[in-house]
Amino acid sequence: MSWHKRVISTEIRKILAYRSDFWVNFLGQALVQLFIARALWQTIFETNNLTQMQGMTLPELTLYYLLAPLTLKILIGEQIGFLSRDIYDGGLNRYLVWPLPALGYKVLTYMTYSGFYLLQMAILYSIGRFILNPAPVETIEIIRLVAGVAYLMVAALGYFCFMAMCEMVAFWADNTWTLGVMLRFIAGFLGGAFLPLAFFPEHIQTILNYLPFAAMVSGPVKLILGRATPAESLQSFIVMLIWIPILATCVRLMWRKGNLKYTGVGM
Amino acid sequence: MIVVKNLQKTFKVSTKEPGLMGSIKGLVSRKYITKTALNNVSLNIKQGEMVGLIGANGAGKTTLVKILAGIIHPTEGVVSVLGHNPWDRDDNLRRQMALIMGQKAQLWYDLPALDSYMLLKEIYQIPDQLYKQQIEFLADVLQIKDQLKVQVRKLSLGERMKVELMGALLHRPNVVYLDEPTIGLDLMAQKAVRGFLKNYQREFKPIILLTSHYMEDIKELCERVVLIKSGELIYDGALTTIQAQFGEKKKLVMTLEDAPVNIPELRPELGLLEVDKNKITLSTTRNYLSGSMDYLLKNFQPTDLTIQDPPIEEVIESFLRKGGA
Repeated sequence: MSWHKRVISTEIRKILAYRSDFWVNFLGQALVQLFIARALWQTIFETNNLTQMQGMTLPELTLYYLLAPLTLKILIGEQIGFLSRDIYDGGLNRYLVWPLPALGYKVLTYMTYSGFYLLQMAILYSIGRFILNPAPVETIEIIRLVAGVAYLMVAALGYFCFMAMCEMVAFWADNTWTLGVMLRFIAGFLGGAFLPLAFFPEHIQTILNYLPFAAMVSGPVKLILGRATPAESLQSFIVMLIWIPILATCVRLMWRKGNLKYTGVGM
Repeated sequence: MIVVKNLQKTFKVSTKEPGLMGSIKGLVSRKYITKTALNNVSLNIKQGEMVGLIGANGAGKTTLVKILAGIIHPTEGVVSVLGHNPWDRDDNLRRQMALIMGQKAQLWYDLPALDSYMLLKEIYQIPDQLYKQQIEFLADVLQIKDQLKVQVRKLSLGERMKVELMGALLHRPNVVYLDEPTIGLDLMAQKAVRGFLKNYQREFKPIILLTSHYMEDIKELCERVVLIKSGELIYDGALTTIQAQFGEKKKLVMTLEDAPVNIPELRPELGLLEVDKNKITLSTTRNYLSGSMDYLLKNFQPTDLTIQDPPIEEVIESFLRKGGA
């Protein structure tokens, strides 16, 4: 077994190490989020006597609210602090001493978490569809689902670059937890996880379509739900593919510069 | 072989005035000071040598270890470890190196040690046969077999250090950096770790660089010591030499049949006299040793007389206080 596979297997074992935390994280959190969104939108629909909002019925909107935050979770992968905490307390030392690329190791652990949340999304989405009985929602095509999953994993890699840049500020500023929180909020807002992008003014939507967040969050959700044409999905995927090398270059640059600043404190 | 030439490392450290106002001021402007952690340090370590790195807190020991391990970059100077620049982070070097930090865990806390070892096996590309052999050998010597399947965080401090040591030595490194390997351990565990390191060094002949605040570690393991004070190397040589050269104080301990009734006056330059029942201790210096001895033998009838060297801790402490030779 190569070290890559062993890193993934070790991370999975870490995720599974604590039973109650696992179940709360796996089911509890998303279900709570889902029921809050459902209750909120149901009130809005009933108060205004609406059958549709921006072309979405209540079950469709509820499904969107199930998928969008879970997508964000997949993108965010490992918890905030996955790199900055190591820089802050000297935990990075172990990765620098091991004969492997430290940043590559971090990408793998990050993607393992993303993969785990993808599984969570698949299960919760199936439960959600069953509970909500969203009759108007068209049947998901397998091809769209597979494309959506692949899209999501590439998006997670892109988001890793964003996260890594925020985390690596710790080389200069020690504590950067707030930056991670801000990024999560910005990505959630501009990506359409908090409010579908269809609710934004059209000129803002046009701008957002060229930014990476919409391509990373809304792009795969719309693809899975069948709310985007293949051409639209391809366009948002290409936008993301253009952003990734730019972000990756920034990550490498910050890593190189940051390493010169690293003091390995806490050792 | 490790070669260090004219190594220098400076850090820019921010400072803050104490108190609430200091914290508020610190939000707007910070003062920075440049701290020299290492200044013109040069040393060579041959394969198979075990060297003790000694110095007070903040002397620069850990900075030196971190540079040698390739964790941080030096400001100036040349370092070669087994022919490599450590901060090039060449995999060929890192496969031959191990770093054990007493205050920092390398294994995953939430997993049993064996899980982490399986990862280390792949990282260091340890062949199956050698891996099994090492696990058996190390677990046996460190007497830790039963703890390998227990979550690391549930182990005692001593057990944790043992599993850390085991993890770091699985790939049979040629260079081992040990930073406070016995810190916080009880006497039994300290002894076990020391015994293990001694045997390991004898069997596999790696370079071992050991920093420790416990002089017992250094005394038992290292023939050669390197003393660092305020970032400068002030002594590099045999531990026995430092003791012979700088252990100026001697203790004469005389045991009598009964407690002495009359104690004649002692010339102040001959030292300090302490009497405890039938035991007389005279702390003196090497120059006045014969005079002190004369005084004791003339005035008392000993049943036993010993000349003691001061403990190595005291010698080194006084050496460091004086700033070296």
